[in-house]
Amino acid sequence: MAERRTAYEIYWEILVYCRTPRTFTSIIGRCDLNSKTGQEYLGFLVGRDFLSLEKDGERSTYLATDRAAEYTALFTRLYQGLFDKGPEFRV
Amino acid sequence: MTDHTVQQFGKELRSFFVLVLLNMTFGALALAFGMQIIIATFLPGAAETPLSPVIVAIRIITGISGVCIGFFWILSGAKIHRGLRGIRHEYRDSTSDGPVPAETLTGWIVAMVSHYRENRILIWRMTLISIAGGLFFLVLGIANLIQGILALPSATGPGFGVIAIFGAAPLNAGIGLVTIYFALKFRRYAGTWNLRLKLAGEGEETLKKALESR
Repeated sequence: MAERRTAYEIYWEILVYCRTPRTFTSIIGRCDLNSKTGQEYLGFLVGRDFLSLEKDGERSTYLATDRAAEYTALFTRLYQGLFDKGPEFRV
Repeated sequence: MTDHTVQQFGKELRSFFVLVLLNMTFGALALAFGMQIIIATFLPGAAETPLSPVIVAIRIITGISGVCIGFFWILSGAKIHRGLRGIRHEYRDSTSDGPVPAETLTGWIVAMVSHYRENRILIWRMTLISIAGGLFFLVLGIANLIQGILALPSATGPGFGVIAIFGAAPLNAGIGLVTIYFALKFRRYAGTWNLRLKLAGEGEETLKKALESR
């Protein structure tokens, strides 16, 4: 699965999903990651201040920061820009 | 930008979906024609005169080619179709509910990019196999025409066999031409997606900088 998507696409999916607080289990479930790769991606994003880890007693949740919004906006612009030019045909 | 992109995305998705379905149909036709040629070669009384060993060999090779091309064609189409179905359902459900949020659209684009990235080689092979399939039908049509012309001098009148052969010729050639036409469309689609993957790859450098900047 991870081979199909690039790391940048996975970062985008995680950051969009974490606009509201999310648990580790729900993130890896939603983004189709295994525990090991999920830890790596989340560790990177927390380390770079794109996600904040919030602890509420036993429960830990991840929440996207303001920096995440810049990345997701850039990503959206780049990927939607791919459709500026199409194959120009219709069946 | 999102509205225009949603429309563009929807148009392409529909066209690609139809192209894949057409490819599967042509694959089924190639498979059926291939089997029909093999069966007719061995069916007693199918030919008015006994076939020479060379003709039998040519017919068997043509039939097996048709079966192989058709089989691969259907399998490839089914695999691509399966990946598209989920995206298409989501697209249909979301667009009927009103304006599409930017991240939903981007999510579909990511899904399409991933789907194309995963099936890039398969789609490329499919463009080649559909051209091969088109040529198969075209050759079949030309062979029917030659067969009909050769059968004319010995025919006592416009018998059923001669009429059937002359009827099959334009049909097969027509299917061949239509198949090649759609194969070229499919090729154009693949070309556009190759370019998009290249652009997405180039954009990764910008994304990398955004992730690493402090």
